[in-house]
Amino acid sequence: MSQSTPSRNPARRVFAWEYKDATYEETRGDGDRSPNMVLLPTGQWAHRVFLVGSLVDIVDDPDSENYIRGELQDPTGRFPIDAGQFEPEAIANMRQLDPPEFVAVTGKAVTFSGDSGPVPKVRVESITDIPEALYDSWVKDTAEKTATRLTNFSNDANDAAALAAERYGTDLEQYRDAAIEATEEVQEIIREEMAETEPDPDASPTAPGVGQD
Amino acid sequence: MTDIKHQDHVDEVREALESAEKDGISVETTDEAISNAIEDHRQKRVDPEDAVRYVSRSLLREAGADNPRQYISGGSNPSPPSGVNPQLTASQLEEEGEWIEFIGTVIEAYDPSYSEMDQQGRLADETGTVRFVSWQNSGFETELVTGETYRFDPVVTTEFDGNVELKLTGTTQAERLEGDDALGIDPDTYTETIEGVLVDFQDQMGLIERCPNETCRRVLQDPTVCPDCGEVESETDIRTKAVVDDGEDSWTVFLNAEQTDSLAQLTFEQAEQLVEKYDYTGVVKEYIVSQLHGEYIRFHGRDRGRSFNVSDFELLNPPSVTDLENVKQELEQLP
Ligand SMILES: [Zn+2]
Repeated sequence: MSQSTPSRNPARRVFAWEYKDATYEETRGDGDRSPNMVLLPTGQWAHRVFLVGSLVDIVDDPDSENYIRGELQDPTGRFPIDAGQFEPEAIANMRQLDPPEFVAVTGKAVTFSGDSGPVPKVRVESITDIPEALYDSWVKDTAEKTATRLTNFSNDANDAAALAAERYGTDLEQYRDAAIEATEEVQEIIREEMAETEPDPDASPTAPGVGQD
Repeated sequence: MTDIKHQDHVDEVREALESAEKDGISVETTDEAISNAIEDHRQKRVDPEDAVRYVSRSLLREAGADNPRQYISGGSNPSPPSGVNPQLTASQLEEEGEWIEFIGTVIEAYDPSYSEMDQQGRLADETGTVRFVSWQNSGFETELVTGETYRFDPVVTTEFDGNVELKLTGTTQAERLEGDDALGIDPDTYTETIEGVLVDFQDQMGLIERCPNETCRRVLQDPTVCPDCGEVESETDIRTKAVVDDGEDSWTVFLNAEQTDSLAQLTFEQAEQLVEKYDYTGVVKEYIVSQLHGEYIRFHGRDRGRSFNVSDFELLNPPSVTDLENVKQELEQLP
């Protein structure tokens, strides 16, 4: 669990339902490289996140050359995303995307000041459109990592979890349920796709007279 | 002041400070101040051996050293071994400062990174690999041979770059295991596996210029000059330099032109056509990123800590309904 620099901070996997509650942000460690981190309610520090979902909104303010924002939806909720003057490539790439699209986002976990306190968002480092199948891989990956965090939450040595419990009064059950619902939704989608592509073995699609409805 | 407490340990701190001087880091302090600092630690139940490390580190950091650890070699074992040490496998190594027994085969030995370093390399067992290091004058005398299996007992774990490694010292006994006792790991064919997402891409990838000398192959900023070989006529090549991230750790991987083609479906000819069409070399990197960012990939090769040497890889299949059912059940069983 070492945060020792200068290793690169890994990109955490988290569902939108959990991320929306990650309002506590802190500069971790000492020295010049001390990274900014948000605390996930299930007890893990995140400097970076990796997300996959449907890009559902892009707002490109014509008055501001150096700022663009959008919204990414996963099976559990939505992530606010944006890019600013230090991410010119991300701005250019976001301008080329046309919602709704499946996208993968690597970005920094940060918060901004909302009307009623800090709100977590993701500052985009990389964003690309992707094939739909990656969405399924990400949901499985994220559900597994959520399960791992929930399993480790009550470990004595888990300082991040202790702080999450103190700051958020974390109700673990809702994050578990959101992860379960996400896996169920993807299972349903896969079943539907299979039903569309694989003909019913009892039917005879080549036989004349089969309905087309 | 005639007699100074902890004189031996004060000398060890002095050694660390002196070894930093070659990098222009100088610390103004007195032996008495060092001695007092060590005594302050002792009163907080810190062994003087450990205090040497903490005091040196703090003095060097105050003097502006970015990585004080590199100057601190001998005399910094966390705590002495206590009789019987647990035998741990590579995958069980998580804590620094533990005295353990470890059995592993040397799969690689590389040149020391600092002049004070004696040997370094990687050891493998059935569960994974771990880096080992020994420092000059540490008292560890065994010359480790690649391909041989050793039992190290006792050996202490330390932490470097966020990874746990083994530090071989004078206390460490290294016994070579032979015949059936050896692990049967062949350094020439040994591979490790990592699975993760390509989350980031770095500079000097896409269409690049290389030094044409077979033994050099350096990537050049200026296609007419190699910093090592002088004036050259560069060769154009394609490569990918990406970050693989599994959510806990990340590694830099390099993929050559053939590997890049097999993942991103981009031949050399197609890359050249892209450059011609857009009149811009950077388009090749952009194309590769657009194809590969977010992909889940399993890599086989050698773990080098921060980077991973790729020999082979495959794209991970998207999950089946059953795969998702397994995760769902794991979640449902949680309290
Ligand atoms: Zn050269």
